[in-house]
Amino acid sequence: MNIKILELGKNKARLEIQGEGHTFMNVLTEEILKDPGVDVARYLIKFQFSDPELLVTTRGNRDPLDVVKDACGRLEKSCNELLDQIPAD
Amino acid sequence: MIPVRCFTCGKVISTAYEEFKRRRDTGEDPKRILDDLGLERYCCRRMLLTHKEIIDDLNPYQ
Amino acid sequence: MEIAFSVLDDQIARFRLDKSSIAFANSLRRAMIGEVPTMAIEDVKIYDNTSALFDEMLAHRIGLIPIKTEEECLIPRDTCSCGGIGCPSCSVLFTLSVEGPGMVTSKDLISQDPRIGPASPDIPVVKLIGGQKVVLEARAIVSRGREHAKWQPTTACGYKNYPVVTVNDRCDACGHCVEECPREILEIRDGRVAVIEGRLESCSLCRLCERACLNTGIGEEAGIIVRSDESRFLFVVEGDGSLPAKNIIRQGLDYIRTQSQGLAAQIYEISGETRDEND
Repeated sequence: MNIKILELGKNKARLEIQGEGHTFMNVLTEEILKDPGVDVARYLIKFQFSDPELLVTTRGNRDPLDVVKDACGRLEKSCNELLDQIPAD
Repeated sequence: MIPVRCFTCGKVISTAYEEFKRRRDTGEDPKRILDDLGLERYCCRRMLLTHKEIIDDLNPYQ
Repeated sequence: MEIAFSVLDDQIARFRLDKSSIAFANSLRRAMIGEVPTMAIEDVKIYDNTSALFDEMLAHRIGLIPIKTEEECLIPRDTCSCGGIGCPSCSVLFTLSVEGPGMVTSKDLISQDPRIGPASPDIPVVKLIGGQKVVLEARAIVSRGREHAKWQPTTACGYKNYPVVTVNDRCDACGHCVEECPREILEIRDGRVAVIEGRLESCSLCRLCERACLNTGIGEEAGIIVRSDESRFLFVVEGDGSLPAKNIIRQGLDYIRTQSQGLAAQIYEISGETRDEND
């Protein structure tokens, strides 16, 4: 996975996440929104086959990139939790 | 030829056709045959119910 | 998050996902349908086809045959070192050579690799009469369901919200909702409507019972209320035979996990760089 930073400010980040679709982006934005320091988290797929553009804005001193990273960590944790509960062969 | 899979859900239904045809021709109720064959959804059931086999009519022509 | 299986065998899995969200449930569903790698026949070389079906029809039918895949025995073609030409580590060759009369079935597809073969031996491909002949060579590759439906490992794969049926004091046990319910989950118990033990999960959230209740002239509010629990989901995952249902779930979850890890790693790299520049 490659990402391209389109815009990066103190409270705002716009990233292009290459090779992703709704499958991952939707759950990611919803996970980012669970963070209390986040103002806006949205993604846009301009055309059917274009790469999604993620927009994150935060309140206060929260770094927008950290917010995305934390959300990824939480997603990873819940996946691990579920994978552990699947009975082994 | 019977389609390999159900158009809607993608379940492989062509394996059930031979038995379905045989039992239907003996006059059995199609509902019972389909239940026996494990075709639960109506999308898969219609695949067998509405199929018209024409391969035998086409086969003599090249 | 929690997962609780009610049915789990090779073909089908039913489970409840607890303490989750709509976004996660949908993402898991999409990942299982579209992002789990499986095998299907992609290229067909036809040497001889005198059957009643056209070449392209024959190739289409062969493509739809589910191929049983042992986990990770092959890699996707675009990441292979051969550069997409097709080598034994990214593709499997099948040969089929049948002369009529008789039915060509999927068991006539002879695989080069003994670990890989059609999921079912009796899928009819074409019926031949005497003198007709089909000789072809087919190459199966690994890909994902979002590329083409033939690489989907699932047939029926979906979820519904967990139903929450509450009966309040307005219920007068008239029994109209019991009759109306298409899934037959209601009964009258101790002078009140109640859900039959163990049948709650059959509820399809159609809310016909609410309507039946209002039609009795009970007033503005129904005596039975059906709501959905936004944090619990009932999943059905049915495989087409190419992968066991358990592996489909596992690989679906694995997809979400790898993507999160990948994104986190990328951001870590980038934010590290920018920080260095600032210093």
